[in-house]
Amino acid sequence: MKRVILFFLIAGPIVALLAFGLTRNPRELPSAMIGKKAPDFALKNLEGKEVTLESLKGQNLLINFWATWCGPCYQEHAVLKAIQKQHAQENLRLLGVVYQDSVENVKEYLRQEGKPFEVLLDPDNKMGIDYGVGGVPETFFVDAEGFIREKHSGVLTMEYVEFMLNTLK
Amino acid sequence: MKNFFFYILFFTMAVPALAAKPTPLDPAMQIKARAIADQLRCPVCRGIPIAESPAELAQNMMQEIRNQLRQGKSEEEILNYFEDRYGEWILLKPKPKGMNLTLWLLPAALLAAGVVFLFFAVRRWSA
Amino acid sequence: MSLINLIGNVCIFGSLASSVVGIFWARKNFGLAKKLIYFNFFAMTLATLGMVYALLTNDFSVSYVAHVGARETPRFFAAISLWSSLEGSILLWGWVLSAYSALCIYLYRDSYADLMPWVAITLFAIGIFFYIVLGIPANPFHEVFPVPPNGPGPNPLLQNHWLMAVHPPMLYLGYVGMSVPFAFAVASMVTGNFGNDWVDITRKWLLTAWMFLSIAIILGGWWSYAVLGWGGYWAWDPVENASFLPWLTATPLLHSIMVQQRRGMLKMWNLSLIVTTFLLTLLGTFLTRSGVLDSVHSFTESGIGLYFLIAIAIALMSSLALLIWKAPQFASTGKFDSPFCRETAFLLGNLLFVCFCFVVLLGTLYPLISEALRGVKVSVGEPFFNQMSLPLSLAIILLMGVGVATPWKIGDKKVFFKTIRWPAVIAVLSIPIVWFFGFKNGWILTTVAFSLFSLSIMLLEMAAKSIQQKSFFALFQNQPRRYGGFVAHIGIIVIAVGVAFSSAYQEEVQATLKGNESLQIGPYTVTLQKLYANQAPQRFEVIAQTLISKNGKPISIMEPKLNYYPTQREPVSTPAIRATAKEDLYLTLMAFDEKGMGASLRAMVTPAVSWIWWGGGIIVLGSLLALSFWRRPKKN
Repeated sequence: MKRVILFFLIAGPIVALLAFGLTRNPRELPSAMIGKKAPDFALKNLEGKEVTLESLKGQNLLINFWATWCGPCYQEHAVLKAIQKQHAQENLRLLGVVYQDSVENVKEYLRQEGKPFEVLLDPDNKMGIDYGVGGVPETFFVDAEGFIREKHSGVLTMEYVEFMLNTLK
Repeated sequence: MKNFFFYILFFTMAVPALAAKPTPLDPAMQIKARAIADQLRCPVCRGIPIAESPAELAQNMMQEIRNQLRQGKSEEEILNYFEDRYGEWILLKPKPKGMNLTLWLLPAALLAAGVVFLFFAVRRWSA
Repeated sequence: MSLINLIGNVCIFGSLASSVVGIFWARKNFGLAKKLIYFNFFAMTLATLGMVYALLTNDFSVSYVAHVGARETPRFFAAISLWSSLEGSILLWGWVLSAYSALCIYLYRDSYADLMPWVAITLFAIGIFFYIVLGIPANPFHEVFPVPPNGPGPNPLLQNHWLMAVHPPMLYLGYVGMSVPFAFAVASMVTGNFGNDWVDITRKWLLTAWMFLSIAIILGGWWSYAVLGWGGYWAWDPVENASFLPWLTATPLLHSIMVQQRRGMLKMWNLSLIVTTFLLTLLGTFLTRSGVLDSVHSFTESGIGLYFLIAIAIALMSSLALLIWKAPQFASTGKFDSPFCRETAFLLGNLLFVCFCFVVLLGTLYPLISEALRGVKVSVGEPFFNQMSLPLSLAIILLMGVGVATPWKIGDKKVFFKTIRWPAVIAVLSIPIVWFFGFKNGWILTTVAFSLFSLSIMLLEMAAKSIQQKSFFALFQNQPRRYGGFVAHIGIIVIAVGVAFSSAYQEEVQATLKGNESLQIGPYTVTLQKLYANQAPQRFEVIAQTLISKNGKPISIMEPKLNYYPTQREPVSTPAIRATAKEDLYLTLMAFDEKGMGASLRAMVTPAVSWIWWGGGIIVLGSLLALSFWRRPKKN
C-alpha cells in the first residue's frame, strides 16, 4: 500500500502539471494595466499639435497601438474604420499610436487606406512602454474617468469592439 | 525581377531606425542601468534580458531606464515601474516572497537533507 | 501520390507495424525481433534519404519540403533543413533511434539471452511512439496538391551558420543514445538479472551518449553566440535547459556506476538515475516542441504535445512502477571500508549534481507551477539560475580535485594531504596574482583558485605517473578510463574558467557612426569604412565594413551584416567575431541609415569565450580516450 501511495505521489503531480501546461499558451499575457489609471501622455499628432490625456478627459477612449509594417493591423484597419463611422456621434475617441514606425510610412499608408483615428507619434516608444505594450496590435479601452477597463492583444473584431464599447457606457 | 522584389521589400519593410545618440551617463550610472536591465525580460525576444537584446523595444526600454536613473529614481522604483506595466512576468528573477520562496527553499532543503542522509548512510555502510 | 511520399509513408507505417509485432514476439522468437529491428533501421534510413533527396531536388509535393524548402536556398542548407523544423527533426530522431537499436541488438545478438528480448521490447516501445508521431501529427510526407512553385525556405536563423549542420545531429545522438541504457535498465528490472556485464555495457553506451550530449550543449552555445547576435552563449532558455537536464543526471551516473561496479552498491540509485535521464530527454522534447513553455526555439504549436504527454505518462508510470516494485530486489551487497574514500566523494558529487538538476528543473517548470497554483505568470531567467548554479558549480569543481586525490576503499589522510599540499599552495597563491591583474571579483578569484587546485592535482598525478612509466601515452593505454576521465575533467575546468571570465568582464559600447568615424572599446578602435549591400540568392545583405585597429595598429577588417529574408520583416543580424585566446571582439550591425550614410554598431569585448569551445574539444578527447577501452579485451 505504501508503494501505491508513493507511486501516485510521484507520478500524479508531474503528469497533472504537464497536462495543465498543454492547455496554456505561454505567449498570452494578461495585462497588468487593467483596472489601473491610464498613464498620462503628451504626444504630437500628425499635424504637429500636442495631445494629452488630460485634454481628452470625459471621453471614452479606444487607444490602438499599430504600425504600417504590421500585417494584422492591416486587417484591423477596416474594423476601426467601421467603428469610427458607426460611433461618430458618440462620446468616443479613437487614437492610433504609431509603434516603431516612420512618419512618412504612416502618412503614405493613411493616404491609401483611410484614417479611422487620431494619430499620435511616439518616436521613442515612451507611451508604448508606459502602457506595457509588447507588440502590435494592442488596444486599450479607457473610460471617461481615465481608467483602463480592458486590454486586447491581437486583431480586433467588430463584435468584440461593440461589446467593449457597450460596457464602457 | 527577383532583385526588384528584394528592393521593394528592402525599402518598404522595416529599416531599423538609427537610435538617437543616447546622452552619456557617467560610468557608475551605466553599471547601475546594466544591472537593472539584466533583471528585466525583453518582451519580444523570449527569455533574454533587455540588457542583452538588440531588439528595438529592448533598446527603448534601456533608454527609459537611463532616463529614470537620471531623474534620480532608485533601482527598486524602476523595477516596480516595469512590473506595474508588464506584470510580474517581466522580472527574470521572481520576487522572493510568498510561493516564489520555494524556488530557493526547496533546493536548499534537498541539499541539506541529502547531506544529512549521506552522513548517516556512509557511517552505517562503513561501520 | 508522388513516389517519395509513398515510400516515406510505407517506411514509417511499416516500421510501426514491425515494432508492434516485435513487442509481442520478442520473447517467443528473438530471431524474428532481431530481423524486425534491422528492418526498422533499413526503412527509416530509406525514409530519411528520401526526404533529403526531396529537399535537394525541391520536390514541393512533399509537405515538409513545401514547408521549409526554397529554390534559392543553397543546397548545403537545403540538405540540413531536414532538422530545421518539427517534422524533419522527428524523422531524424526516428532514424537515430532505429540506428542505435539496430547497433545495440547487433552487438549483443549472441549474449545475455535473458536480457536481450526485454531490451528489444523497450526499444520497440520507444520506436512505436516516434513512428506514431511521424505517421500522424508530424508526418513530413503529406501529399501537397497543387504542387507549389516554390517554398518559404527554412527559418532564417537556421540557415546562417555551418554549426547548424552539426549541433542538432549531435543533440539527437546524445538524447536518443540514452534510450539504450534505459532499455538495459528496464530489462534488468524485469528479469532480475543485474550482473556486472550489465554495468559495463551501460557505462559504455552512457559515456558515448554523454559525449554527444556534451558536444551538442557546447555547440548549441557556440551557435547561439555566433548567430543570434546578442553576444552571449547561454540564456537558460527552456530549450537549453532541456538539453542540460539529462546531462546533469548522466554525469553523476557515470561516477556512481563505478561504485556499483566495485562495491555492488547503489544499484537502486543508479537505476533511478538512468530512468530519470531518459525521462528528462522526453520531457525536454515535450517542453520545447509542444509550445508549453516560451522558448526561442519552440517550433510553433502543433498537435504533437498531447502525444508526448501520453508517452511521458506511460514511460514515467511504467518505469516508476518497475523502480518501486522490482528494483528493491537488488539488495546492496557491499560495504565501505572507511568513510574517507573516493566512494564518498562520488556520492557527494552525485548529491551536488542532483541538486543542480533539481534547480534547473524547478526553475524551468516554475512558470507553469506558478500559473497552475497562483494564476500568475512569472519568468525565471538568468539572474536566478546564475545565482543558484554558481555555488553548486564551484563546489563541484573543488570536489573534482578532492575526489581524484582520495583513493578507492580506504583513504590515507597522510597521503591525501601530501597529494593536495602543492595544489593548495598553487591555489592560494593564485588569488593575489589574479587580483594584481585587476580581477577583483570574489567569485572569479574563487573559481580560479578551485580550478587551479583540481587542475594541478590531476596534472601532477599524470606527470608523476608518466615519469614512472616513462611514457605519457602509456597512461592512456594502461588506464584509459582513469586518465581519459582526467582529460574530460580538465575540459570542464577550462570551460568553467571561460564561463567565469566571459560573464564577469564583458565590455560593451554602442555607437552610431558615419563614414570614417570610430568607436573605442578596450584596446580596439573600430572605424566604419563603408556600408554596402549584397544580393545573395536567398537574401539581401547589408554589410558594414569596419577597420579594426589595436593600440593604433590596423589588424583586420570586420563585416557585421544585417540579412533580409523575403519571408521575414525583422532582419536577421550576423555578427562579426574576431576570436583570440585572450578575448573576442564581437561586432553587430544594429541599424543603418537608409541613405547608406551611417550605421549603428554594437561592439563587445568578452574575455576567454573561446576557452569554452576549446574546453568542449578537450571533453570529447577525454571521452574518446576513456572509450578506447571499448575495443580492448578486458584485463585482469
